[in-house]
Amino acid sequence: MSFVEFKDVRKVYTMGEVEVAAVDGMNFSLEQGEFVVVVGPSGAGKTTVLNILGGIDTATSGTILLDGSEISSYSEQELTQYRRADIGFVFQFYNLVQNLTALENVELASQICENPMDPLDALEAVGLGERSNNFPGQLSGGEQQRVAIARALAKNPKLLLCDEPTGALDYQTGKAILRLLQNSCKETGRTVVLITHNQAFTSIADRVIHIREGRASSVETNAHPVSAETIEW
Amino acid sequence: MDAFRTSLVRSIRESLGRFIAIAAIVALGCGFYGGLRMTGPDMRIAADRFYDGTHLYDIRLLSTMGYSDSQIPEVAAVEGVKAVMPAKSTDVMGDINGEQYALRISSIPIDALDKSSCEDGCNVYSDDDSYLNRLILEEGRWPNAKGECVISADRVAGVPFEMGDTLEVLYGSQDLDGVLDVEEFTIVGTAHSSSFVSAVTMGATSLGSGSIQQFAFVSENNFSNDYPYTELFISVEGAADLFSGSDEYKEHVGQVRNRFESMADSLAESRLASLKQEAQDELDDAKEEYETEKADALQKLDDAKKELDDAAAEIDDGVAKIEDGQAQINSGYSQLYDGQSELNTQKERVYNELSAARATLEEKERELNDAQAQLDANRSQVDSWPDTRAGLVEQLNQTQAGLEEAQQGMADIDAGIAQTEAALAQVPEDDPKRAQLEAELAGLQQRKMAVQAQIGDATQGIAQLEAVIATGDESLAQFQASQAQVDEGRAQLQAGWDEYNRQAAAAYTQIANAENELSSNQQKLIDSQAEINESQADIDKGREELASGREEYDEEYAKAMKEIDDAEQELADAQQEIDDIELPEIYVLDRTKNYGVESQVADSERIDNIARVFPFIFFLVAALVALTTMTRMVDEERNVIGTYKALGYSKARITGRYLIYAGIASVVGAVIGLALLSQILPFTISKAYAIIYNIPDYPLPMPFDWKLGLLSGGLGVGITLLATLAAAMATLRETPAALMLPRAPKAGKRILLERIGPLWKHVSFSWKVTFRNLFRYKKRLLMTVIGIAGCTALLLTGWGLHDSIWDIIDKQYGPVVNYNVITKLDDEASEEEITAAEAYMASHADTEDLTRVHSANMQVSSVGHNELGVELVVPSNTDEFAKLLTIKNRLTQKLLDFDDSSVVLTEKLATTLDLKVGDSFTLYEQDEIGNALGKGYELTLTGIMENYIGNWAYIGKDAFTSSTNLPLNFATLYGRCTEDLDERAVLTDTLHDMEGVRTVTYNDETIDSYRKMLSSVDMIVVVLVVSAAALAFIVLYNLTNINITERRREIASLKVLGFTKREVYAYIFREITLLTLIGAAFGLVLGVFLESFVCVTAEVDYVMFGRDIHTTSFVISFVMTLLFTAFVMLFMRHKLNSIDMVESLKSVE
Repeated sequence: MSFVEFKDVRKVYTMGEVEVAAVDGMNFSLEQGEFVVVVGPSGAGKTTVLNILGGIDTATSGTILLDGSEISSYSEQELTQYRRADIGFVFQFYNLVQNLTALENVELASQICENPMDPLDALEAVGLGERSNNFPGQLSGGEQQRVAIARALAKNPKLLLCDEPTGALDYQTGKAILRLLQNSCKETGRTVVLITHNQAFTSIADRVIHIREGRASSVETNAHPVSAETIEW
Repeated sequence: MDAFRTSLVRSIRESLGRFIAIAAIVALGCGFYGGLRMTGPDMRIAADRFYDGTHLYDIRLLSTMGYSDSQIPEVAAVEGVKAVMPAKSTDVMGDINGEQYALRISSIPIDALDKSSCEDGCNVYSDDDSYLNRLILEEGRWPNAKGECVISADRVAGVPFEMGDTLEVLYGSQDLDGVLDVEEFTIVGTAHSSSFVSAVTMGATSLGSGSIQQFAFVSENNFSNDYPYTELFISVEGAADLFSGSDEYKEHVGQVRNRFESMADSLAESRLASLKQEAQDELDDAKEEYETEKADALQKLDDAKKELDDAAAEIDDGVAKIEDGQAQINSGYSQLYDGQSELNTQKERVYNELSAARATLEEKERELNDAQAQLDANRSQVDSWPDTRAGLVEQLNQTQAGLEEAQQGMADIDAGIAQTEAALAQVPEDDPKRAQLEAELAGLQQRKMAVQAQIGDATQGIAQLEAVIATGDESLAQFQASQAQVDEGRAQLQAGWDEYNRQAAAAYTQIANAENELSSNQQKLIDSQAEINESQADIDKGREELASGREEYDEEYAKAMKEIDDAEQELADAQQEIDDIELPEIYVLDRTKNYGVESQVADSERIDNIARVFPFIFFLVAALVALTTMTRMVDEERNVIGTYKALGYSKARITGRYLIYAGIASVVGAVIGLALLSQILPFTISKAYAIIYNIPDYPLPMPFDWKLGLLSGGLGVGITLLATLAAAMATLRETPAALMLPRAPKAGKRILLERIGPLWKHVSFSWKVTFRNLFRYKKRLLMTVIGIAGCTALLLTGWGLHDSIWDIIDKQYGPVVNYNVITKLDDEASEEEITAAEAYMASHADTEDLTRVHSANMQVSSVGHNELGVELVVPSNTDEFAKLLTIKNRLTQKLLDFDDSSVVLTEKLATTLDLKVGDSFTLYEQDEIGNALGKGYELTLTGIMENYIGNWAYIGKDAFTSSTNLPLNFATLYGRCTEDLDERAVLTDTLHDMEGVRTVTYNDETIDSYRKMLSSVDMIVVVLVVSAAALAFIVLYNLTNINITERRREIASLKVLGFTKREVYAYIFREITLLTLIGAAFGLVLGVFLESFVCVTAEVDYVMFGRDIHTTSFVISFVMTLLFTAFVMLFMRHKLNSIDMVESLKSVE
């Protein structure tokens, strides 16, 4: 059995009298320790997939399994617990708490889970040991995103979910972030799912899931993924 | 509608919460300010309406000696006077169902009462224009007979009563003879009177505790005819059209009042003259009457004397007559005795003669009787003779018949012998028949011989018989002759007897007649004697009577002389009195001198004062709410602003958008707030005051004061617009480009707390966020702290006020006042009477610590202050008194020295008069209507004591006597008795029946009336608590709303991180809780000041509010604030829950 399995997952939004299916019969699976890139055009439903997988949204129907647990049947409280223990999220716009220092932002996450990383270690891991006492406002975008990644990693999640983490960053910084994510996957064996509309990222993935119109149009595994440093866009 | 306006409408619709928040706080601010400001005027409007509706007097002319009837038209003719209603009135102590009141009994025209009508409880219609101070009947009916009354329907405390109960007049402020004809009234109705609008104190009087507690209206005929009209109620032409108490009104009435003031002296003089004239006339009449009576009396004395002399003469006559009579009787007796002895001699002679005659007759009779006796002895023979003779004759006849028969037989036998011899002869001798015939012839022969014997015998017998008969007949004749002789003798004797008897009877008759005459003479004499004796008794009695008559006469004479002397003295005194009559005092009193009217105005002005300051807090909060809310709105719409700016809209146009938004919100709020609170507040507060004042509510809607409404609305809207302008300007200064970008989130900053490293390390990250956030948004911090502080301050003010109000009673009765019963005796009561009352009280109802004091209602003043009424108490023994009254300093709670040289005033009084220990003040006596008399007496204050109810002066007797020349009458008894009502009733009744006792009063009655009165102020507490709650909700809702909206993203992030609901609430609400705590703490401080301001402003005369806020009130206010916060949080949880992670994280705002 795969680490993550999506079976006939649908997500339907009702807008007035019109029903729009953002995800319409999604089927895919992925294995533990893989670096997965979900790619597709805008509006294909990839963010929805990620949100459902991350437990911040729920599927209308279908089954989602993670490590043998059926997430799709979780109650709200179970989902909260699930997010708390199993998931690390990295967003396009970092979503740091402006009023906490970098370190405190990491602590925010580490304080609520059972076996977190040391927050400072997490920051050092993303190369921000020096800036741990800075407020987000005092950091650049890339640095903020690194704090966000550190915050996600500090929880020691089973899954690290990243939604266009480089979307608001310049090319170099974006690359650095990608490398950081790739390294964190390779070095710690953590499963990372990254969403992007950028086809260039597919080459660094162990597994690439193409999404089109709410379905996984194709899933391919990449036997020899390249390092993030080598790709260009 | 252009796009700009469309977008405005949409933004209102989309941010309804924000719109409502602004509208609500503006509504609260404007409504509270406007409503509170309008309350005082509304109360005065209601009063004016009531006064006009009931034709309350504008001027009251009070005369200490009343008015002459002729003065009334004179007063009515004064320019500007519309109507005059004269009335008789007097102040008395009355008793209704055992409770005693100082009450004013006034006359009211009952004809007008009956014809008046009142439908709306405010306007009384009557055809009688001179019917002023019109009453409104509440219950029962109008009085229509002597001895009926209506009393106040509004008295707040006291014993309940029913129609038909009795109002008993105990005594008056003056001698009630010649004042009231009736001293027991039946309560037939209750009424509202505009001249007594305060149901607690209806005015000043010299009775009881110095204030009128009840009124009674009666028909004029309950007053004595001679009792003059004591007051003239006057309505002024055109005054009703003016607002009572306004400057116009005062000026208008003042003109007429001035006329009366300048006329008062002449009124007084003419009253004096007419009083003197009246009295003189009366005195002259009395003098005349006296002279007549004196002459009569003297005449009567003379008559009596003459009568006595006549009686004496009569007695003398009687005595003479008696003496004559006695002499006559005596001679009568001697005559009688002579007659009697003569009669006796005569009687003897007659008796002797008669006896002799009698003896002769009796001798003769005896002889006759003897003869008769002899005769009688033979009488039987004589008497039997005829029979015997008849028998003898018979025998003779028989013998003759036998002879003849025998002779016949002889013949027959001879014939038979012849025949037989013939027959024998024929018959042979041997024939048998011969023997027979021979035997027959022998038989016949024999028979012939027997018959011959018989014939012989018979012949002899006949001879004998004839002899016997002859002898017998002779004897009989002899006897009969003797008898005749005797009978003749007897007849002669009888004649003799008859003669005798005739003579004797004549003699006896003669004698008896003589005797009768004598005895009748004697009887006559006896009768005469009895008569004489009776006369003597009469005379004796007459003498006695005469003696006592003379004594009486002497007494009467002496008495009459004394009476004459007295009467002359009295007349002289009366003359002196007339000569001494002083000029009456005439008071020209307008409505400001009416206690009820004036205190109602004062109370309404107190609300005015509170209204000027109090709502400030709401405006401040409104400004802050508007500022933060609009700032937030402007921030949220920064890219819209940027877009507009980029499109070329002017700054003014863009600012206008927000100004219009805020304007609409604040105008809507102001209108709603004013519309609601300008009704609710005046209505509620008026209702509260309705417990004290019987002024009918102004019918809803309450009058709206447009000036105040606009002022308040303008303030509210203006503040909001200013805040909005400030918020918009800051943003508009930025370039469109900068505006198009999301505003850089306000950077986190280190706060002072973090410098304290060790402490900060122990603070959890969420607390760190909280602390940093607190200082990140200063406007919000300020708004929240001020809003919450205001809320807590309002609550504390409310509860503190509640404490202060109830402390009046709780701290007065117990901590200060330990007595509960006061028995007042007449000032003239004798020592025995006081001792008796004291002894009875001591023996009944567990009464303890009785002590005597001198008590009086007086006036005090100090330099620069008007006189105030004060109850003076001079204890006879300060040590005993100390057991009944705790005289201590409020702040230190230490007992003050109180001895015979102490002069202590109560705190409120001292404060009002600006007196400190060591200052001097003046004590005045007062007249009946509470005016200070004379120059007063100066005293030096030695202590100021804690006291809450009433103004009191406690003065030691040495201090009192050395500074005043007033007499001390220790005729009031203070003590502590049982709480048991039945026992008390017995105590009251018994004391009442005792000589000299005037009133028995218990504190409970006072406590009760204060409780009622104060509960009105308690309504304000409710208003404060409700507004505090409203304020708290608006501020907290707004704050939380902004907080959450602004931090949606942050909250969504936390959710994504796996924060549980509870953790999210805590993360957000911790901040609000902290702000609430800070605000509440500030609020407690602010509340102390606000409470003391409201307390001092709202304080009513004669009452000092408690000055402490209880700890519990601090706790309650604090806890209530937290509860309001908790409630808002509970409400806001939903909003937090509904934050959608997906939506929030999608993009940058």
